[in-house]
Amino acid sequence: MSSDITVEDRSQFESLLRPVLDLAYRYAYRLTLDRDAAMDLVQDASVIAFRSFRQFEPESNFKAWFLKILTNRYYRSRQAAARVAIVNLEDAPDLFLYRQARKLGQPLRDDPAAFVLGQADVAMIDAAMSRLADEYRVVATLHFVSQMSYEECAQTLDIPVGTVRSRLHRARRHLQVSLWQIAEERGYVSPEVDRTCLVAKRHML
Amino acid sequence: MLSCQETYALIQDYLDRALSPSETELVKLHLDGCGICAEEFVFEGAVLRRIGGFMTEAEVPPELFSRVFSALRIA
Repeated sequence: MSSDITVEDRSQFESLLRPVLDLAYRYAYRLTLDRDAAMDLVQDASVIAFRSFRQFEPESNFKAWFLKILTNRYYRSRQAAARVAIVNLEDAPDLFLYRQARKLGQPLRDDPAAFVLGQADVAMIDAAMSRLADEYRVVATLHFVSQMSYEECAQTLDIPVGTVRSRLHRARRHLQVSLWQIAEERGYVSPEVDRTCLVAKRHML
Repeated sequence: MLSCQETYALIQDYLDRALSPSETELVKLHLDGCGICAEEFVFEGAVLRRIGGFMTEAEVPPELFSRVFSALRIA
């Protein structure tokens, strides 16, 4: 044990860590998409957090503090890996799936997302998320998995709340385009819809 | 009353319950009176719920706790 960490510190750390481990694993798993890598990430983050526990401010948010360490660890592991976003985020229009549904005359009552996501599985969602650049994927993953508020996400990722908001919104737009592309690739939907004419034109009151 | 443009700009935050009470009321008021925006809102909400449902699917390995706490014992 590190010389300046007491038995009480250890006990307090473990009692704070235990309730967030499931969430940490799910977050790590969605980032790495690999069971062993996710466990390694959670374990490494736990050890780093334990060694840094004296830096944790007792009145602050342990979950955000711990997930920040985990996220930083993930980013470090990703530094050597080049990721390329397949869809340019600037090109992802608003309401993409909604407009596809309207264009195809899909019924929008009861379960409006079923026309494209009815046959989806978790692998399809993971594949679509993987097409996001890391800075967008991490925000979206954290928010989807943890249901944290924008403020908590901002604390966790050490970025301004406005950046969380803008990245999350852009990530969702991009995700809708990616989901459509994958649905086309899998034959769930017709590939014949002209995507270029779907840039949203807002109706005006 | 908010316009459709103004409402749409707030829809994602509304879905995330990230608006102030007064902004929330303004969005609700618009959605109550605008069928198109209400349809878009319901659709976006349905898409996000489906994605969120998949994203939280991951069985936590039973050995995770013992592995982490074993590592902590020698840290």
